[in-house]
Amino acid sequence: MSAGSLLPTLYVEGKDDISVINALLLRHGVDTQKGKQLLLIKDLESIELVLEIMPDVIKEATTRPVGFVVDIDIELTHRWEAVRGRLLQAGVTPPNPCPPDGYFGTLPDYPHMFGVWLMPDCKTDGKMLEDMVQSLMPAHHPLWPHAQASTAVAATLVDNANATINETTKKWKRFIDAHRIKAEVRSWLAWQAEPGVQLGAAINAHILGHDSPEALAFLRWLKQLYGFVQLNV
Amino acid sequence: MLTGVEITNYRGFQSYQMEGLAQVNLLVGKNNSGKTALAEAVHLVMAGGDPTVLSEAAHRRGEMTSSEDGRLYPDLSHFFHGHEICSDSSFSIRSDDGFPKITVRLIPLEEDPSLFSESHPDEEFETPPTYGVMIEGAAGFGSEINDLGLSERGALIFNPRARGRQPVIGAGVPLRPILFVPIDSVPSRRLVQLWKQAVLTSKKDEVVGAMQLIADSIHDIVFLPSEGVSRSASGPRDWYVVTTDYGKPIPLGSFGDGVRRLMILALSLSQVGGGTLLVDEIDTGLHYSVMADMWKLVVKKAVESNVQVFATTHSWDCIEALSLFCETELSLMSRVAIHKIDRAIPHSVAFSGESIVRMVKSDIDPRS
Repeated sequence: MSAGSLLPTLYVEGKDDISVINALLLRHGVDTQKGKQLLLIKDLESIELVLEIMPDVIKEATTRPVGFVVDIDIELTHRWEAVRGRLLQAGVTPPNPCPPDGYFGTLPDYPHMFGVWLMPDCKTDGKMLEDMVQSLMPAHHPLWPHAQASTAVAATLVDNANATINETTKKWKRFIDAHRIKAEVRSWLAWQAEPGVQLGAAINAHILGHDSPEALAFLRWLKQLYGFVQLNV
Repeated sequence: MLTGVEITNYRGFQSYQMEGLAQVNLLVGKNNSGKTALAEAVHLVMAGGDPTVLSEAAHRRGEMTSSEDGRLYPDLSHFFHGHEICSDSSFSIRSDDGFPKITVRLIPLEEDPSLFSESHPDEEFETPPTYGVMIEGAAGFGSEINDLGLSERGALIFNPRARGRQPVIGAGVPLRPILFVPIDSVPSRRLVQLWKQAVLTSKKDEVVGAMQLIADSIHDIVFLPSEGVSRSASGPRDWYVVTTDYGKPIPLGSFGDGVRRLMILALSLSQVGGGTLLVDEIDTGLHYSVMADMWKLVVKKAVESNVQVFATTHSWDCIEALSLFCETELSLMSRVAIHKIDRAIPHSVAFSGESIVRMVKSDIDPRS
């Protein structure tokens, strides 16, 4: 059976998005998981799928607000252009560039809004969910510069080792440069009192904060889209 | 082919539009969203405003009202938005297929009671009509004020003297064959009737061919009514399926309700070539494992015989099976559409075959 639901729904590109968003909402007093479920967060497992399904979901959402969260990852203008293309297919003409407070749209005759948020801040080229998480780290934490430096060292170690290997299939693998922030954030998490907890769990465990400017802007977008009046942001 | 319908003041819809209709249309939505009502609206407009469509729909729904003598009449009041009737109540259905707009309008007879009573000199109505029922756009029965009457409580009274007139479409649009397959099982009598028509019109092979789409071992279907049993009492035991798998014909009943339902669909499709087939709750009696075969039968036959199909469902299995069909029959994907019916907005939302596949893969439910 389908998990069809009348709940307001948020479509995301990975399970880390679910845990981070649930944790942020919980730290701000909105429990999306227990008792009265307020929001269904659905992991579509890739940015391509989120974009592909966007026009259908927007048209289908006659009964509830729906939102989409995707990483910027690349140049902001290119990411927004890809999103705009899908929104145009849904029958709306979104602004250009992406509104810094997130995008809200409505289809004629539809009672609810839909929205798009580009992680982490709707404005910075190449950024992603882990940049939002990094913004939640305690200021001046001594391990953060070390996590960055260690990640750089790790990359260099692999690159140097690979320089002596001719066969491509035998080269050591490492993160791609665009994902450096993912490695840095997880390195930092590896050295906390409880080593290596997942992103959302780190927010829940107060290893990370919950009210960076990026997080608050994102929560304000959620509040407006889903009408979460209990969110004090 | 119908590509759009617009209805006004009809049942639960004050104003509603359906657009983007395809050859095979599956209407989905929550319970009481109006799926069946929309299929019935299509039936009325495609049958050229034939008022028997209204009375049959009322019978199917159990919307009957009794007169003082205990006789039951179809209750037309439920067809009007808000279930209330008054002077000048009307509902209308407009299509874009060259068919005239059908408007069913009540004319108070107190203004001119002779309009109805003078035309019924021999008829003693137990329930005197309060309104005349005018079906504007109908060129046959129902197009005259004295064809139909309505009591204050909504009882639809047919004028027997006018019944002889067959509905024909004006403006040179030929009436096309149309059938409505209801949710509950088609009576055996109707099945026999359809079978006879298929045999008489040399369509029997088509029906067998359609059944072969779901089981290629089916070689023939034969009807052998039991001796000493009246035709009206004939049942599944009178039908036999000849297959290459067994040495003797197997009773249709042995194949379960699903095969009987599929046979009704195949028979119905064979009888409405170039026309319209309406199927309420198309998944009725079908196990999910044969649902994809059902779509294969319906879509292929509809395309082959140029039949436009309107089906309703509230089953996820049925939607999933349509998606599976689209994935395996890419050339037919463009022939199907799902229409989400939700009265929260004044129009249906159409999803193409490609969208259906995408949504089902991501577990997005168009019924919600």
